Amino acid sequence: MSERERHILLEVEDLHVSFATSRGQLQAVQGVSFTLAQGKTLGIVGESGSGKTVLSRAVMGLLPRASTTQTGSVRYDTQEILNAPNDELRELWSTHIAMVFQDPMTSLNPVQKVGKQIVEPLRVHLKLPKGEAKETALSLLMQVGIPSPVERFDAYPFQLSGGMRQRVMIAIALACAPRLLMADEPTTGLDVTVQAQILDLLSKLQTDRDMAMILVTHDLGVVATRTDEIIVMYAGNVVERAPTNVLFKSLAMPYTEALLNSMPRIGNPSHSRLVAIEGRPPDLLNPPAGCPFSPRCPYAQDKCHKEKPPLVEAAPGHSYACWYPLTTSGQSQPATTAPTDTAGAGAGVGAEEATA
Amino acid sequence: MTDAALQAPPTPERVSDPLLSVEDLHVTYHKGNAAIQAVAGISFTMRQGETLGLVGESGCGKSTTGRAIVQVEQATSGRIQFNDTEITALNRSDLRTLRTQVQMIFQDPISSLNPRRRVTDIVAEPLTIWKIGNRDERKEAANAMLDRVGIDPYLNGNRRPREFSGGQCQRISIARALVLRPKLLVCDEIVSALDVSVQAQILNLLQDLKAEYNLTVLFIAHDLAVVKNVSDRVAVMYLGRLCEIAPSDVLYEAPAHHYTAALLASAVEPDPEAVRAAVPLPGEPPSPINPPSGCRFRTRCPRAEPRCAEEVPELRELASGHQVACHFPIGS
Repeated sequence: MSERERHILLEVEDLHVSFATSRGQLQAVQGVSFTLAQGKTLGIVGESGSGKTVLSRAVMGLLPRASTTQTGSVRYDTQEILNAPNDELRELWSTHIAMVFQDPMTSLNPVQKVGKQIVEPLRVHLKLPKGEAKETALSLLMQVGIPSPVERFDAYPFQLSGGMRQRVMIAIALACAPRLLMADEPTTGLDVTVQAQILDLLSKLQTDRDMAMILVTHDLGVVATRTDEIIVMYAGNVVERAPTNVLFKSLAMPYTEALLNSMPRIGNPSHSRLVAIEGRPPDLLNPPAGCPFSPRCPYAQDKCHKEKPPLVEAAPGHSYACWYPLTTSGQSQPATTAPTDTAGAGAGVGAEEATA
Repeated sequence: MTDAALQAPPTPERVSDPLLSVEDLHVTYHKGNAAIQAVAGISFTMRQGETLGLVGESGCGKSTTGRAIVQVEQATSGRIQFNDTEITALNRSDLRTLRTQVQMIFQDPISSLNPRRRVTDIVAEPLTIWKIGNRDERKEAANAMLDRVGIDPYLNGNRRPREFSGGQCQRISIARALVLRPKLLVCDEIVSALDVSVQAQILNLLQDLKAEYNLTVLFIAHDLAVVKNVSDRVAVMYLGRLCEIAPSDVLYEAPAHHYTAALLASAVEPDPEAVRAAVPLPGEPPSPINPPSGCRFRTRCPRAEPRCAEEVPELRELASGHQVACHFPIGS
């Protein structure tokens, strides 16, 4: 497959992140592995507390060192960047990896004109002379679709709408032509019509620049038409990973199914009963021994509560962590025919769970 | 809600006897010398037992409309009639009495509960204010209500809001709103801060309670799919005015206003084969301080003509129960 031959830009292997809290170690990310090839888009989907934001910040190297423990490996272009010193990371930030944050109001400097904030990375990282930097900044503002960029260059963030601010954030992130863009909930809080504009803009810029992108979101709708591959996270674990069209057609993990079924759809008639997931995600200070979703899973059996299922690649590119995965008909397989340890060992490649 | 009631189009006699009727409502805020027309002349009615969804983007005036109905916000002009009582002209004590029948649930579930009080007391407070029953009876009523919304009063009644998740706090807010058995419930973005799985729990709970207590619900939200799920009819707002009102299935299948169509085209669906709109709606809504003349949507409308700038399109009936404010509606 040609996709497999593309240059691997980012490789995350068995990443664990935990925070020291007054009640103990909170295990926010528990052994996550994935790779991302140049020019591809990966969607990371999960609810609050699933670890998706912590994962993206760990990859960026933005987590506070003092209170977090990070183990495993994050390689950017074969260079190990997990726990790398800040000046090493600073070489990468902006020119190689850039990030768009969720809240454009608090991520922009409120007392600095937006033009200056776009010029700054150009001056610092690319060492452009003043005039050239300003020209580049204006062209960036134009590229992200800001009307009358010359006037906006001298505007303060509060003078812009939420959608405009997010466009400025994108312009700053793209200023030094990064090869990897992390977008953490880039459209949450924006109106639907603006959301559509921003997502289209990101897709276009990504194609134009052959840039890799990680789209972190809680909304399966956002990633459905704009990603090549999707990772579904639950309670700090990757529970399913598949190419986008495969995931929606033949999902295997009951959590992914539950997440999809609980979303109201525009296509469904009014007053359709939603299938809610009862209960709450587990306490990450004391994660359960078995599958993290087992307490809420309608198909859970004894084994699910006792043993944590490893993430196994069952079909090319499609991995999931479940003892009794769903078949395409949406029914759980009976226990006797479930792919258990033997199947897991056979597939081998994707067994990435750190279960010694 | 029975299926028959859902499918039946609103018959004339039911429309003529609404629980709530809003007529030419204006709400204008003043900021310095500028007048911001948050709501600029909207009219609609709600009949007993129905859920009306109110959708639109931020700044369209949907929340202001809801707040004017519970009289948290004063209407600048226009009439709001609840059960044949004109509520914009009520004195303080009559207004307080009205609020036993009209309740509101807010967006942020945690900050809308008093952080220092125990949840049983929070839910019992409306009863205390109205001196309904004695102390034990009130506690019992509050506990029963908490139990109904899925909070175990014996395990959790003595806890304070910070010990609950967002979804649980929203359940407590619902219990507080319903403990006086109101007739009309105004829900302002009540699920937008919640995760999808929790959102589904709350939406299902609301549907059940609505049937159980024969509630009439004004459901304000920006999420088109959520609004369709809960509503019998849906009203679309843009920049302070109503664009379109129709039974929900009709509105989503055959929108007549170009703004409704654009909103639907921008919505994201969890389906990789969903057809994406070739060009999403360009630009952003203009400022409500100085709205466009004529039709307020004309500056972004793909179908705008000179007439749209000159003449304000009034809401008119296209088909039974389907009203649209557009000179050139889709499909005609």
